[in-house]
Amino acid sequence: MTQTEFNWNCETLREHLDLYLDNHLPADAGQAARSHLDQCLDCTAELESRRMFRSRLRNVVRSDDTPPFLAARIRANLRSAQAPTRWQRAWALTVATVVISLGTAIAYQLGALRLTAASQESYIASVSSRIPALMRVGLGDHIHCSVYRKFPKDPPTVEELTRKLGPEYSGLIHILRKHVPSEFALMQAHQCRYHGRRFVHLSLKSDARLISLVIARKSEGESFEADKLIPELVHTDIPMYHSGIQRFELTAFETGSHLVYLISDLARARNNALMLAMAPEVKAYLSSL
Amino acid sequence: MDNNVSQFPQNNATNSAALPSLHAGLRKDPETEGGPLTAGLAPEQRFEIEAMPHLRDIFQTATRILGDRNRAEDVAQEVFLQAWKSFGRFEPGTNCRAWLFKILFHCVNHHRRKWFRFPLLKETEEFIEANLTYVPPIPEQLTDEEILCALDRIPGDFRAVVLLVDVEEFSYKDAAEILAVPIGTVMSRLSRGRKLLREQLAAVAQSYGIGKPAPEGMQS
Repeated sequence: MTQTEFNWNCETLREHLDLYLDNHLPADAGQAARSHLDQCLDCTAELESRRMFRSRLRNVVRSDDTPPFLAARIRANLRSAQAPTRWQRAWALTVATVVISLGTAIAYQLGALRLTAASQESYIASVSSRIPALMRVGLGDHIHCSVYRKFPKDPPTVEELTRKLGPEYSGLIHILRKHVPSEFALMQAHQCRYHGRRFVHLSLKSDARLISLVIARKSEGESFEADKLIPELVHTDIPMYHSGIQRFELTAFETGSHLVYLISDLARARNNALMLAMAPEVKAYLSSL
Repeated sequence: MDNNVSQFPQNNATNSAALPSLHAGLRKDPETEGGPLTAGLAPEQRFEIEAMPHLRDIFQTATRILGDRNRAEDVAQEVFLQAWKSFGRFEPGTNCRAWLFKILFHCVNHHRRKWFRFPLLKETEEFIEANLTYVPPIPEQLTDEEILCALDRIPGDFRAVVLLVDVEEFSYKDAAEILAVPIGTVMSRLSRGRKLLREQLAAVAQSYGIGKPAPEGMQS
């Protein structure tokens, strides 16, 4: 900026006089202001007047004394609320962490932190609404029955699972055990009901992953083919359908009377491969019922 | 120190003669701002040395902001209690005074929702934008009470900036930090607050017949 840009008259200077007093004008503007002030007695008087007023304002506001016992009252308050030392803060943090962890664990054990039925339903609806309708059938049961279930620490024995599943479908346990890698333990084998529909449901769990074999009886007219889903794979004449949503991978096929789903949080290729491997035996087993 | 009020350090920092620059909030007086001299002391002693000397400033500003000494007393107590509770997080040698003022405005904002119905600043700013083009001169023949009355009549947000910058001599940057607003907002509120204050004072003076009409060419 050149000085000519700051060739201020009295009005312009006075608009900027407070900034000049605050030493907040750019250097060039400040210089121009000084040049004007050197030649203008009125503006110099105004500058002095504002300077004096600030000083007056300061003195007036500061002439107000604090009440006589305010400091004493504050010190008394402080004594009753001792500031925590660093060690005390660290200790308090540790205690708080332990309490919160314990509280969370207890609340979880008591079921307080598990999702409510409404929020489970809302989650299942939001996830499964983005996959084909007939795929939703299996995914809903998997999420409801496996994802939200708290499994015991040790897997049940095969005898227990066989008893729960019932003799009609107990042969599926053997098929699953034969094809699913050994790090997956069979945690659940039962017949369940979800949204008015009966399912045969077998769940396997490793440290971090979950697999479900979900079997539903077909209702009248239900078919992946009738829903015009396109099979992604065909293995030993069994068309395989696939869907994926969030972490869930679904591979499904149908028999004359059943819809069969393998649902897991494995990689898509792995889920498909597992289903391809066991599909002929599962299909044969269901056809023999 | 527990029961002896006389041990409360005299707040020389509030004496305008002791303020060497406009950047009072940044001054590093080892007697009042802590740092190496207080680093090895117990928290109680550090708080006494670093924070308590600013009680008077805090109380005076609270009084002008709230317009009521009793409320100002309550708020001042709250400010120091909060400061004490979080004193462990305060770094020795940094600006304790600015930190206390920040707590003060936090408390004031909390209370004024309960105590007052301040006009929305947007409306106030629009009003001032429309009415403050002429900058009246400051009459000299005014009493302290008239000056305080005029100050109390300007909207709270403008008054806060005038108090912080013109009375407490904080820099624009520190005022922005204390009020948690951008520095441009501080500058704009300060400019408008000062103009409004001058207008109030000119009106008082004119009512006594001591004000002068605006000079030729200065009235828009």
